[in-house]
Amino acid sequence: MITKLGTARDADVEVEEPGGLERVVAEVLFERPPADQSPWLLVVPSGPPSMSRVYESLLTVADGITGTRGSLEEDGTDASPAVFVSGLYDTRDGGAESLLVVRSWTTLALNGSFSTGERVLDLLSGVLWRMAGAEDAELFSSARWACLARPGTTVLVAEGSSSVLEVPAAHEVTEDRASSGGGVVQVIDTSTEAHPDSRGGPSTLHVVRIGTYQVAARRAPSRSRAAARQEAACRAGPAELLAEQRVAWASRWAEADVEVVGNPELTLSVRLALFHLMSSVAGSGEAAVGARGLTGPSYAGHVFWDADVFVLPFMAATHPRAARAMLEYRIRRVPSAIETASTLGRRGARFPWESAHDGCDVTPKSGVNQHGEIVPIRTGELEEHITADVAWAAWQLASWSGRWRFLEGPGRPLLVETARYWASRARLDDAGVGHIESVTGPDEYHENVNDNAFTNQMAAWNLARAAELVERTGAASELDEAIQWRGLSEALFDGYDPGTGRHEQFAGYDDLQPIFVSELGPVPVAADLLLGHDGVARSQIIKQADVLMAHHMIPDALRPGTLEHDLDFYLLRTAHGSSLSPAVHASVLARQGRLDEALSLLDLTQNIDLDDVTGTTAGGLHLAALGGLWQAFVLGFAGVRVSGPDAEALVLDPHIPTQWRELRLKLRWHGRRICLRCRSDAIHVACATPLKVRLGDREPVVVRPPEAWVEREASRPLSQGRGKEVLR
Amino acid sequence: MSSKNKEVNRPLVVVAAAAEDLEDFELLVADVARALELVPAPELVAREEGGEKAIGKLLAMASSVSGPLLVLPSRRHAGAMPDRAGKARGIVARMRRVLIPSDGSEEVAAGTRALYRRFTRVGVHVTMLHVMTEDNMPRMWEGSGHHAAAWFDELRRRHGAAPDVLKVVSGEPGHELRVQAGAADLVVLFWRHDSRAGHAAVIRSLFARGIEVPQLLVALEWMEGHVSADHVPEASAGSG
Repeated sequence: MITKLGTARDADVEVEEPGGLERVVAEVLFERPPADQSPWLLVVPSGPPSMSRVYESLLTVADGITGTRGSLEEDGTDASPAVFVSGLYDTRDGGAESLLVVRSWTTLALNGSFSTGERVLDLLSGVLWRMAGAEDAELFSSARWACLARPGTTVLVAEGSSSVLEVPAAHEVTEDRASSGGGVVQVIDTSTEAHPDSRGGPSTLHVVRIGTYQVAARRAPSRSRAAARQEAACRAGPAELLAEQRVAWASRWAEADVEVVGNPELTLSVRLALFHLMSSVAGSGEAAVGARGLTGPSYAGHVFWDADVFVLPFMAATHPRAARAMLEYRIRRVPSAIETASTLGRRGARFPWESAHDGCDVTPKSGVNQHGEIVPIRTGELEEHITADVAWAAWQLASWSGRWRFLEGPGRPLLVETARYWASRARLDDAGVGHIESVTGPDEYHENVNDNAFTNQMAAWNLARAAELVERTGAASELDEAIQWRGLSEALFDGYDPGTGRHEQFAGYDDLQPIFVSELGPVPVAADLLLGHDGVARSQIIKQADVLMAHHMIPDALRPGTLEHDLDFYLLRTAHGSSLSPAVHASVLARQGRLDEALSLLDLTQNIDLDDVTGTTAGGLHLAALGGLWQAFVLGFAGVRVSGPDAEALVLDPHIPTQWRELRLKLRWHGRRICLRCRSDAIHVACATPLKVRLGDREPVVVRPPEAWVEREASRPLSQGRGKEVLR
Repeated sequence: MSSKNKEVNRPLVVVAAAAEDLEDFELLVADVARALELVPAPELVAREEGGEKAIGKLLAMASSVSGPLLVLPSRRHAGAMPDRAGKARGIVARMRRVLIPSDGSEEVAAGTRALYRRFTRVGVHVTMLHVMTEDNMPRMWEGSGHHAAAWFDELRRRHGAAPDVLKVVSGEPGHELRVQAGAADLVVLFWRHDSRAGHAAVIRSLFARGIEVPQLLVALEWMEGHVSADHVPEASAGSG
């Protein structure tokens, strides 16, 4: 119970007998996990100053509404402390919208110089613990978390020697307004007690700080609501809030965990990825998920295809409400996308490459290159595949949930208006072949190309799915349009060359300078820095998966048998200059059973932020790479395939490396909670209701609860709950 | 600063080929010594500009001294370079603009941070030069714009530099350094006490072409002690 507030100015510190704040703090800090090798604990030791901001990103605690970087309580010149509020943007210096940064709740006046210390991020409970000391004495310890059960509520509990810790201020109310019209009210209450040392040494300070962020996206935030929420949180107190936190995170992990049995390091990496994905997306309202989520300021919090293609599938498969919130962000910006298309003389909706609050394109028109020189940026103008990516994301939610209702209702424009855009964007030549000209595909080394295979195939897929939807639910007037879409979908050139048995990335690509990436060095390699902007454009070196991205996203839409040819050709030419690339390759390689190559790129993926491979993790975690890591496990190694809302069976085709004893996944599919244990020759399925499962190309079988093994050869359920024995 | 008293009377060894060179750069030497809180200790070392033997001798000297070594150009050499002649005559030989190259490594970044603070404290304009090579370039580069801005910002922060202080070029470090050094009054060169490899190789290539600008050789071994001393107020920021 918080009994007395202390302030720095008046030193109004209550000295109490044990049982007050000391007991509360002790209760929480007692829960500190041992810093062992648990695959649930990210242990960060004292590090060099250059890593401090990288650690801040990795140690972010967030609840989908607020994200707080893992800065040390005392900050310091090496720190970039910040709290980000999802969906609130601000314009700085008259520039484009950037994610609003509000006041941090973690700062304390710590004057010590600590020679020892470590921080532990407990992924299982979402709590960041810190221990710091000198000469074998622990001088300061703390626990902090963002309440997943009460998004917008934060807790900091600390204990420190008065020789290093000053009494912080007591009660603060601040308000920040976003340029978008919304804002956030922050209420913070800090309670402090000092307990004298019986031997005459420095006293011990116990600190409890509870904060509430009341957010409103489009209007002034309510101060009274903030006060009421804050009062409720303070009444609960840190011990109860911690208990809530444990339950909330356990609930999320119960539907989302990935475990590589026999490889705790890899398990920890993927859990860290999932932790930050789950932390970054709210489960209600609309979720604007920026490229760095709520972990850092880079990319200005702008929303890219990273959200729709890399993050959303994980949400659709584990926490559909969060996927729905992400799509709500797109739905509310359909009018803006329609206006953009109209301005360009097109029909339908054209989504922006980068967006923030109002849905207009906020892609910068220019930026700096590696030498700090100003160069034009054309992605906003040319990377049009984002429009089909948004449609694909909507289909993903329907496919994982098994319900048409979303697509027939609020999600309908995401398929229909985007199809309408492609119908007005593509051109039919005299032979009736459809072309889309002047675009840039995912491979940004080659700008402004014609018939980019990925863009054309995604547009064709978009048109076909929209036609399917309209044929299901549309009015008679729309059916004619659907017929046209189907025709155009069939007519769009897909880049396939019968002579090579593969897809040409875009018209003229095969005529470019044939350089293998191995000539530049081991991957990943920043080929554009080595060869220059024009040099890579003249070569066949590509930045990231392009044709292979289509194989990854819409495998059933590509010609059978082309994946192997495309892999053989493009792998040799891919620099992996983008953090989005390795995971996608790991996924398609695993699907194809090329496990050594898949593992190599999976290893690269898991280390992108842990090893700061891009040199920019300080500015936030690469959320798309984190989502890609999950996709590599689930879609690649486990071979899960979701084809649409009507799918009768959960399709799996596991390819499990011999180094792994087993890959364990928790998912939601068609409203069911499913636990999978995947081995190459069999899977174990646990579910609460009967589930039809198809393993590889075998006939589907029905798995009855609570669990059963399904063997690949027989593709039939084995003895219920006794499969382990059977497999031996 | 806790290191202040310790450094009093510590020498800044200044190497010149002739007494007239010491005279020409007298003010600059004083500027450097003041910024580093060291006491100038001039030494005359006859040397053949660019000669391998002379270079070896300089590096051997740098290895043997406990602190930084300031190597001055010779009037004879600078006189052959029209844009350097003025400096060599002592007309503008003050330390106003310092160039600090960095390969981006942890140790050099830490040294750069410390020297940046010391030089800017006495009003000197510092340019940090990062020469991007195949060995130190980022393995992933997601493009101009957001990624480049984030990368620049982090590189700058790691060197403790204010905005617009950091300059990034690509190429062969020795060549790029010579090009950029033209606008500086002093070039700081970090190196390890190993005269064969790494930073020493760059220093060798610079010296081999003749010294046009005063160069301060700073051993990273020496810098590490001074970085930690300089870093006291922030030490906790990097600790767990």
